[in-house]
Amino acid sequence: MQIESIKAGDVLIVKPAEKRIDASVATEFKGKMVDWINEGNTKIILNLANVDFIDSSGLGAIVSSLKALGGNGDLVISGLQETVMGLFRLTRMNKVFQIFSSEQEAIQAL
Amino acid sequence: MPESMPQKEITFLIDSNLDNVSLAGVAVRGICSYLSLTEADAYYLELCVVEAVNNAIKHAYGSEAGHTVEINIIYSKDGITFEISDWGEKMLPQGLPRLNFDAGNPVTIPERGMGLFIIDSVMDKVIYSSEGAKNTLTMRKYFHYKK
Repeated sequence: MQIESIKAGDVLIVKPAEKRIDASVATEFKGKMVDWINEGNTKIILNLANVDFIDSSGLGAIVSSLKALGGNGDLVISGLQETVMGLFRLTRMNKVFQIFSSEQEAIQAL
Repeated sequence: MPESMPQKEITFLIDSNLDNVSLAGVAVRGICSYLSLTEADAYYLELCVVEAVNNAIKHAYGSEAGHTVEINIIYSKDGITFEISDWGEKMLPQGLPRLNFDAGNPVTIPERGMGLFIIDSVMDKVIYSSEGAKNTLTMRKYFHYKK
């Protein structure tokens, strides 16, 4: 799974290059996120602008990433496509994660 | 869908490998596009089929490749039905799927077990049945929403 990662000050911006985060890539995605967290990144923006499909396994991997922070830092989301936002609303994950329309807004909030 | 369109049906098979599930999802999305459903509805229907196929692969077949998952799609003027079948372990009877957690307390937020909740929330009718070795999850969505 291809994921771009860029540092903006003390914020890590993570941007999956692929259109789907599903059960076939969820474990790999979670592994990469946990590696970045273990390297000391505590302020993370997950930019999902390229992603047009997430299933419950992909969503679970994003939740696992949040839990891996252990309350020390934050994982916020930007660039959610409207259809994927529907999944966040359906599962109430929009109450769990701060969701920003742009990466810039997310950086300012962190 | 045009009023005059008769009931139509398509069946396809995939091997029980998670890498194949996106193909089933894209096929569902294509059919939804043909039926002129909204992007949001197409996403939810694709999601339900993907969740059902994932469950068949993970739970019925223990994530082992080399087994068959059958996807049967029937659409009519009133709605669309998806039948996802496997020949693996039967699903144990379950209560109504729920998703209870405290959004402010990360420990309580689920990382798995959301698939059946999603299916139950999106679909109008969900039935799990077994006939001989064949297990089928039938999911029905009416074009005129119940809500």
